[in-house]
Amino acid sequence: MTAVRVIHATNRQKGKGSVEIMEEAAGLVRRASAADLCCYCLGTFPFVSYFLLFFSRRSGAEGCAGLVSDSLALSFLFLWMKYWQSVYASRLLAGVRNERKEFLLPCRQAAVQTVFQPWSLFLLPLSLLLTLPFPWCFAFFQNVTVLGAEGDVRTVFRRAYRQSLLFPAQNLLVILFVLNLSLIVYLNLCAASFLIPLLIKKLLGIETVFSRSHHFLFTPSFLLFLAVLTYLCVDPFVKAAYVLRCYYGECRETGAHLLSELRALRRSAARSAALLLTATFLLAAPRYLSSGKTEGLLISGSVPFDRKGVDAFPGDPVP
Amino acid sequence: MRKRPGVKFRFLSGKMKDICRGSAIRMGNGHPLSVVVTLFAVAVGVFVLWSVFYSLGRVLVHVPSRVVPDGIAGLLLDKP
Repeated sequence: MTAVRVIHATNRQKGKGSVEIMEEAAGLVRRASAADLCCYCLGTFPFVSYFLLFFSRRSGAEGCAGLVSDSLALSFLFLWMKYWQSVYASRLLAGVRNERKEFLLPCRQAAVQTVFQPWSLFLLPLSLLLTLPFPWCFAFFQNVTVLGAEGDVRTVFRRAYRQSLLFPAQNLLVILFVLNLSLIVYLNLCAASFLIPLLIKKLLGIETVFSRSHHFLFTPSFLLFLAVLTYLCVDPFVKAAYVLRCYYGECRETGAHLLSELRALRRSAARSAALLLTATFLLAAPRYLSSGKTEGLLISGSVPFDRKGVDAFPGDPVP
Repeated sequence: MRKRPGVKFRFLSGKMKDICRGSAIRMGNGHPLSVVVTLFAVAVGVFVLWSVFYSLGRVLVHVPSRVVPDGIAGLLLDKP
């Protein structure tokens, strides 16, 4: 009973502030390499493009024709996206831990995502309807993406569940922050799509389809396009925020931050030792050669080169 | 020494238990059953996903081409 109370008390600890977490997430995304961002784009762009096509086909004249094959293709692209997002998140996590970024066990990672992520499409709307369990559900599925490469299905489930219970206040504030950010980005994109054609018309005098009428702003396809753009802008930061949450949760249990700092120290020590050695060699070699102590080097070999026509070395015996 | 009865049976049941314990939606531990269970979970996931997108497609057929009716949009903006 006491142990349960202790666990609940530690879970309720505040952790870092949500703004601080989001700032760190922004820093993490900015520090991410091009390969990391490529991983994200490689997974997300095909799904998003096909989803827009699917939407325009279904709401257009085609109706239900080819719906079975379209939805199957969309399902596989969704799984493809989740796999690459998991790769992106695990690479960010490796960066935070100061580990090497590697592609590990793609089959297992894909299987983990395929087992869990489809249920997010059911459970997230349901939890949103019930309101209260939404933050935990959202955190759980984000954690599955982040920890997808950390083990088999059971291990990932257990760890993602445990991490989703940590710092509930922080989790809720991060979600509210992300919601506000998404809304602001969406409104900005709406304003930009309304104003840019007008500006082009006023400043350059170029008439476009968009400047002739603003009715395109009210079409569902265009509104969905803006929503998709908003998702693409905000989601990398959300993934980075949950990477940090998982990392800090892990640090509390295992002291991973100490190992991470030790790794960074070891790496910097090795780098500075290599620099020191190079500098010593570069500085010492010319002085050593100019001091005339090269005799030993020459004697150690049999005949280094033809010495005819070469001035006698200072230590040579006089013939 | 006389062999105790039921040792073989107990050994077999232990093996089966091990297999079942190891296979609870776990992949890659070498048990064929675990692989089968994981593949089944994967297939269920794909089916769930397909059914969600299929239902979405059925719903989208009824989405109107404009969110706001032309009358309201015409009041707000210049109609071409």
